[in-house]
Amino acid sequence: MIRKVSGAKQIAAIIKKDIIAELRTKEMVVSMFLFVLLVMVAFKYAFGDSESFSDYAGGLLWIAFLFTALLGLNRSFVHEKDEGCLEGLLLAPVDRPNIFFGKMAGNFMFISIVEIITVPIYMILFKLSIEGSIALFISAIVLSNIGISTVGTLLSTVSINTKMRDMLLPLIFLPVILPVLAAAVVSTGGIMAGVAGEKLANVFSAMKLLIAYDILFLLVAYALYDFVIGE
Amino acid sequence: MEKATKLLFAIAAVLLLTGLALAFLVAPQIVIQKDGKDVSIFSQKIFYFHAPIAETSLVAFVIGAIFGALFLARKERKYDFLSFASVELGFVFGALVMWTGDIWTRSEWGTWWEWEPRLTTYLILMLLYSGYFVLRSAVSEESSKARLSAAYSVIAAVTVPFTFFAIRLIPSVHPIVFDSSGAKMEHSMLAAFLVSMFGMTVLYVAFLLLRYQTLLAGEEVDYLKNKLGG
Amino acid sequence: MEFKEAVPYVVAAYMGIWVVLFAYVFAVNNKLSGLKKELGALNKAFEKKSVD
Repeated sequence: MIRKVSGAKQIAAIIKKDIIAELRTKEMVVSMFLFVLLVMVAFKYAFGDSESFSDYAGGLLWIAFLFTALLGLNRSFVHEKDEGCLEGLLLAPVDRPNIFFGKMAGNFMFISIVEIITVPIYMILFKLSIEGSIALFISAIVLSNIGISTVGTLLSTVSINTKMRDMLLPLIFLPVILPVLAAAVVSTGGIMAGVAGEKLANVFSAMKLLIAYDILFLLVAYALYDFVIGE
Repeated sequence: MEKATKLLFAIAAVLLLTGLALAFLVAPQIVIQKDGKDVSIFSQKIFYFHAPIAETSLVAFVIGAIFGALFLARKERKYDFLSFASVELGFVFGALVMWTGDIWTRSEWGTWWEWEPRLTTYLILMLLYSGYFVLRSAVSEESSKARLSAAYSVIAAVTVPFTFFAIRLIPSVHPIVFDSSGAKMEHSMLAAFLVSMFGMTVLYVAFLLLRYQTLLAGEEVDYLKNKLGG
Repeated sequence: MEFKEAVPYVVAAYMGIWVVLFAYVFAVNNKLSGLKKELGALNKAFEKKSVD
């Protein structure tokens, strides 16, 4: 008889598996990092010598991050499916929601690693600085990343089970994640500009929206994952 | 069911024609003060149908999600059909919301598109639900199609309120030109709104039943074809 | 905007609504009657087959 392991151990095992696979190939983090750098160079071409770049700093940062996350999210399930790992995972005595939490934590980690390296480079390249509280800045990024990895993991599982596979993900992921994009841009942009008063209140309401979004979609993913991943 | 559908269509037609008559013949013309002169805003008449259609499309999306959740819980085919039919109706009504909203934008602000919060929310909604149809067409196996699209209908419906609030974080350029809230409305205007709104809801139910019947018939045809072929 | 200028816009908005709704009823109804015809034909073919 197979001894059933606790939920936390199941999740940890899946995260560990993803980290080992990533350390071996390094394909996800490296390609995401190179991609985000290339996007930033493209920004330079778009804006040229424009002085008012800092007005768009938050927005451009998140557009770059969102497309980079999309790149990584596609990878995270494509290779599971192609190498038959998904069947293995489904056959293993693991609760379906735990597969979700494991994969989501992995995606969250890889996206965050890329962002930690990228943010300072972005600041240097475009002569930007964070005028407001750095702790607040980091928590806004973390909250946005939770939303991106939750919805991203859920929807990339949906898209991988269709004929269109990774072609479908942007079409369903981007409209669902738009509230996170808006809130992330408003909060990080506001903190970078060091706003005060009414605009700071707007930053806080954006962060509240992010918290509500994260909690609700974690619940939705928990409830739906069993149906999404397959019979 | 066919008789009920026809009856509902008839009731909806009567209600909507009454609403139209009330809006144009009974409800007073809105007049605002501009540069010391009275200016009547005839284009406001668009709102007597625009608002009910918008409400109906939101209701359709929510009901689509409820049927989607029911499908996941009970795994009965009819819930998938109802969910799909409802989302499709929400999409048709949503297209009409954008059409009427955009015409109003053109007549009042002189541009074809303004990033007005409500219009923007609808644009995002339409993109969100376009994904639903692409998803449906991307799955060939019927049971996975029903399962995945039911899950997506729930996810999309949960996204809607967030989209609504998120768009309000970004400062809006345009003030709301006039307020269609109940307090300021005269009784005859309110009556026109309510009749149209009720009519649209009945029309939605009639459409839902009609579309449901086509989906059922389509399934039966497929079943018989398979049986004959095999 | 003057009353006269606003009229075409209001007419266009309402025309659009009615045209789309009628087209949709028409399309769905057409599909349904087509399917019903097909269903009738299939049922006949099926009976014939089971008799043979």
